Amino acid sequence: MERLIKKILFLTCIIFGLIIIIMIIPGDESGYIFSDIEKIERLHNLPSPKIILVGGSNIAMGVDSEILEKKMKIPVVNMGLHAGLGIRFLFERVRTNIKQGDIVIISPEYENFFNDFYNGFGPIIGGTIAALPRHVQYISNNKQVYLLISNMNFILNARVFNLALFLIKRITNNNVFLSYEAVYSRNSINKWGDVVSHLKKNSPSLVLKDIPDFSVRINNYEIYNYLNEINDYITSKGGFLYFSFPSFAETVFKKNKKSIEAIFDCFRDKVKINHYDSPDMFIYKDQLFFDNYYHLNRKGRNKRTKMLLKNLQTIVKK
Amino acid sequence: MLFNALVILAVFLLLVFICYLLPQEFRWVSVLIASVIFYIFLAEQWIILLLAICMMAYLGGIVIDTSHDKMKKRILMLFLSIMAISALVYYKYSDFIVDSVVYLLPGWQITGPSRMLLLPLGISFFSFRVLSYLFDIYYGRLRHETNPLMVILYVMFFPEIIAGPIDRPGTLLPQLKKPAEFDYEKVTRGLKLIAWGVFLKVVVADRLGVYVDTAFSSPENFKGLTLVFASLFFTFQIYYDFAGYSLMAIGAGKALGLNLMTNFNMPYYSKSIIEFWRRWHISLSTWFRDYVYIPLGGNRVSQPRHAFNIMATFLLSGLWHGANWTFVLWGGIHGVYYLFGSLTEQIRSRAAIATGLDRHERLHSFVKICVTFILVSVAWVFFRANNIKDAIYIVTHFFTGLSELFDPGKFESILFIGGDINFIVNTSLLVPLIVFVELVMRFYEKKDLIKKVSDLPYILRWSFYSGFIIFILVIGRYSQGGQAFIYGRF
Repeated sequence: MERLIKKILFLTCIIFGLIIIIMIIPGDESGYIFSDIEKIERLHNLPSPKIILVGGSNIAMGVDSEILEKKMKIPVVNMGLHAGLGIRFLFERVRTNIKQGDIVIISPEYENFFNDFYNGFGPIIGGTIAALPRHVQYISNNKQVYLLISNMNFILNARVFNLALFLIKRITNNNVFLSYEAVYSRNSINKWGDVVSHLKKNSPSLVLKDIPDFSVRINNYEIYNYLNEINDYITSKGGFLYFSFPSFAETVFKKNKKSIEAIFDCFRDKVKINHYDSPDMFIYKDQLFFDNYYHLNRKGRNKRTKMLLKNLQTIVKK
Repeated sequence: MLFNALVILAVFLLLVFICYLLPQEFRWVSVLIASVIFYIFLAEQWIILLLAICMMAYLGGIVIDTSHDKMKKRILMLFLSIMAISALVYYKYSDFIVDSVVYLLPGWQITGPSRMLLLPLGISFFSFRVLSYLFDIYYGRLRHETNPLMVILYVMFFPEIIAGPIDRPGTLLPQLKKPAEFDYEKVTRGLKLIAWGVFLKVVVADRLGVYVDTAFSSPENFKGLTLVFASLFFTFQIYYDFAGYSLMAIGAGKALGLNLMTNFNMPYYSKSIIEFWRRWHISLSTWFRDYVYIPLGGNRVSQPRHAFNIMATFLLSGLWHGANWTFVLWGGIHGVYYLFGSLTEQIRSRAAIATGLDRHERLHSFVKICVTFILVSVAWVFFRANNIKDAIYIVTHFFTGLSELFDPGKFESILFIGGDINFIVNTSLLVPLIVFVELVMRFYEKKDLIKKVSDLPYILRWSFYSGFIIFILVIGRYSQGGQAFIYGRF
């Protein structure tokens, strides 16, 4: 028995050692999630007052920050990344950089209002931490810690994947996966942090193939407390928060109209944010979307930016 | 899922240590406690139902065993059988029965009573274990248990509760009462079997499932080779999924000093459907043979009655797998295969002689294996499809769009149906993984692979063990909420 215990302990030590090695080895850094390095760098370097856009890919792909910057005459950084990270993680990335006069525009995807999604989706959080280990500092509650531990394999998986990709690119002279990376890669963003790689492309034919049904999901009320907390925080820093509902495809909206209206009712009832818009402002025809019911194409992006700008200008004038 | 699995593994190792620290006659107590905790951990809401069924089996066993009146015994056995399967019928089949009646009689406006209820975990397996216990006492193969806790342990034995194997009480109960002494080789062999089972499940079966789920969820979007690949991948997915679970159960048993029933014996190398059923899900096949087929008269009856017995057994077996006509049809197809195989045995032998195939034993075996494999794979389509319409669409579209095979651009789209890079990487892994597993299994069949690895030099051996575990951690699919074992749903 003693022999068995010793061997199990020995094997456990080897496994942990190997895990540490996997975490340390550098890998490929051309994936979409690595674009956050440039976004965070811009966030750090911009003087205040500035506009900080926070959200998932609906923000990353659906706003023209250049126009926003020109019209508002203050610098903009688009910190929109991936809805799967959850709005808590996405906001924690910007928290310490909010200063006097900053305008934070937050636009979480609707999924954040259901189940425990606002704390993040395990595989995405795991994959992000694997790619950018320093992002572990943005883990801000016990649920996210549990999420991270329970998805340890995604971290390992992503590390090994990045390592394999790094080696394949070296061997094949960088050509193999390029065709699949064109839209979602580190290079797909412009200097403001907007994803622009999709703007010249036609929408794929399989748009809106998986329409979600929010009515079967469980409402999450914790997110409203969190929104109040970040609103207080931003105000205490001398900035202000503008809550904007995400761009959303008409077909998907029609199917989930009741659920989205319920979210809006709840939002108005529970959240103390002064500046917000309504979901119907950003419901667009399906043709204005790219490959997903949140991802706007060029036309949709222009339309949304105009609307956002109009709302923002009205708020600022007040 | 991974975290839960690691917690279960850690607790299991602790149980193994506790077990061997206890005196031999008390070890079963620790296994019983572990079994109850395991079931509560996974499905606490059903523990009372399960315990009630166990108590019914215990008391029923005493009454049957001590009764001397044959007729009384028979009536009692019938009553207890109905009681034992009533929960199974209620939770699993009531909606199916109601829906079928409504389909046949459209005027009826009734809904199934259990539509909103979850299926009690492992109900198909524990119901059959209870029936095994009662039938074996009824047929005089087993004496009733005097200790009710032992009946509970037999029914709830944790490695087997989710998806079998369905060990017989005659072989399992004596082992549970007196498990073997600690044997380092046996315990470590058990742990290695668990690791191999986990590999089959989370690395191979679940990765195959990604492709299979995509194609079977909307088969009308696909044709030809995509459907062929999906069907072949499912053929391997269900095997590795279930064989993986069985190996985990057998390995857990071995680590605790118990020898559990082998459930799979290279089924896809069978040369006939009859042989396939001797190698596939052996514990269930023999269960149906012993408790359905033989009591119906087996083959010692007229030919039409024998055909009826075969069909009834296969149809019931299909129904056991799920409350859907696709499963019943799957069972029926195997019944037809079986009967057709029996009836044409002589003709096929004569054909082999006439074509000279019988003189080339290896080639002849290869042809038989291929034919059996194809037949089994086609039948699996009915098992996996969401409905009969989908299944028929799939099998009737296997040969459409074959020209795409020779078009490199399109061939890519046949395989990479999911589109994104993860799907592409996943699909690229599938064939190498299947080849690897089959090679390992073939080798294991001929030589004791575990011993071969154990005999490797120290550094190589430990590199292999640690590398294998890291491989499972990295390449395995641990979806959020857990990817259930396919057979665990039954």
